[in-house]
Amino acid sequence: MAESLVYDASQENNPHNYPIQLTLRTLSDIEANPPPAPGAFGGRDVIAKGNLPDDEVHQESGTSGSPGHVELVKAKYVIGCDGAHSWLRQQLNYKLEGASAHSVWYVINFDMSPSCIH
Amino acid sequence: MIIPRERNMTRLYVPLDTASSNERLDRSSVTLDQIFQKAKKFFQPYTLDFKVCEWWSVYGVGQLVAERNQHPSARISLAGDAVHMHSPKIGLGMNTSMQDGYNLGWKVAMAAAGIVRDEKALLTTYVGERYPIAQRLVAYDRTLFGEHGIVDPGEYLKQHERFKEFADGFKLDYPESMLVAKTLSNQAAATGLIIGESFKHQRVLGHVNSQLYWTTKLFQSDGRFRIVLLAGDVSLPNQMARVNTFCKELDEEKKDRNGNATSLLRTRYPYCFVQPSPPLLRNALATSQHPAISFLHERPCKSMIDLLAIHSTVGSTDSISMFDFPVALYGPFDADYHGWDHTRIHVDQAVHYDRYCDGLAYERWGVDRTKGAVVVIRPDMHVGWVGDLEDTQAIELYFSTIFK
Repeated sequence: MAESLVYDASQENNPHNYPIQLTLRTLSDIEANPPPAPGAFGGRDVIAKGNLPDDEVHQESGTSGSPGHVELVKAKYVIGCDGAHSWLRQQLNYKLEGASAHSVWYVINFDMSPSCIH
Repeated sequence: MIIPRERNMTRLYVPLDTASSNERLDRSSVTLDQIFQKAKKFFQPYTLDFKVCEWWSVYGVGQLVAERNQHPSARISLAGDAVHMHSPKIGLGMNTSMQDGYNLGWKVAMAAAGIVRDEKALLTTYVGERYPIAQRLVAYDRTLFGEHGIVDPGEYLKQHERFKEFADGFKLDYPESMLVAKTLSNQAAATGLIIGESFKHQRVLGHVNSQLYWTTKLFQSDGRFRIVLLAGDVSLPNQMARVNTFCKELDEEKKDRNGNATSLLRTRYPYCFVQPSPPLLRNALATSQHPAISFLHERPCKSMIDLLAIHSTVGSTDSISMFDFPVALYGPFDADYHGWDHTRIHVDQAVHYDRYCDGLAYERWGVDRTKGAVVVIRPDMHVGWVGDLEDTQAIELYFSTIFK
């Protein structure tokens, strides 16, 4: 998980320089794969693992270092594909525009009873 | 909303009436029974019941766009849900997000490889091309699922129709840039291949090897640009002469900006990405197979620019030999293994054994079957430039604006 972003604007005009510094910390298995909320159905053990081929199930932790291991990465470029709660977007302090009022939806997959709709 | 699923399952989307509660919902408090009671109300006076629920969830949706999708330095970019957030329906978020990555990946790779003239200008095209898409996507979602799921079916259909091409990945309206050279182009040469839009893929027949190809396969994503010579009716001597001149202009060595004699097709812009041969060699040895006979052992890329042709002369695969075409379309000869390249000349012709190869590609591309046209395809399969066979200087200019 990325813990800090340092951007050195003085280096950005030379394309060979590395203006970006990221600190990354290796998560423990429980941090990387939190269990589902109480009473909820899902989480890594049910969904993700069920779809993995056999050989990947055995490599489930998938981490290179031991938990807590911290590394410093210098980069020319970084791309944040880190979702609606984007950590990188927060580091850049970019605001969100649009309807802030959340609409809430339920979604269910089920087998209808034989006499269900009649 | 009801969606029929695999294994006779049914999916229900049930909007929560947020008008009755102003507080943010505590999602961990939701139970299956609660959801089902809610769903049942929608079905009244009919009844709804189930024995097995395979999966359920509850989610909140904000219809939001980040104020930027790239840092002003163009060094830091955001893609996918980090930029645009909306309802998870019809896979549009997934597809748009993948398109974000597909738009940006090759630009960052080229910038990092140090082969482009102006890294920042190249990377900033990501903003011009993809940020308006993020805004339109969220506007589309607001139109479809805006009022807490209360949608008039007729209005839904109308809006769905209005955004249909956008949702299919067309009508993206990429603006003029170094990569979308509208002013340098002659759109009239190929009225169906709009500069800036995704290429309209068709099935074509290999002139030499009789293989059928989707053009997606011909333009596979290896970071190269493609010059696609829509060669027209090559059975006409004066048209074949135009094809010859076109290929000669691009193939022959000319003085580049550094004063060196280089060929646009072969030597001016050498291929800058790592090719997969070393790991392939290891894999091949592991299976006791000579690397040269691995199906993955393709002709290595030498140039950032590839040239291929699709002509329109039906039934000519026997009467016109590969050697009647300019050597730029099947050479250079690889004495070690590959020999001549049989995979770069194609024909737009219907074949009786494949319904998709229907010989209508030129018509869909809006290209004259006699005099043809030329199209430059970017590494992400968007049309970068369109013109005639005589416009080789414009093509040279297009590339010299991008590359060092």
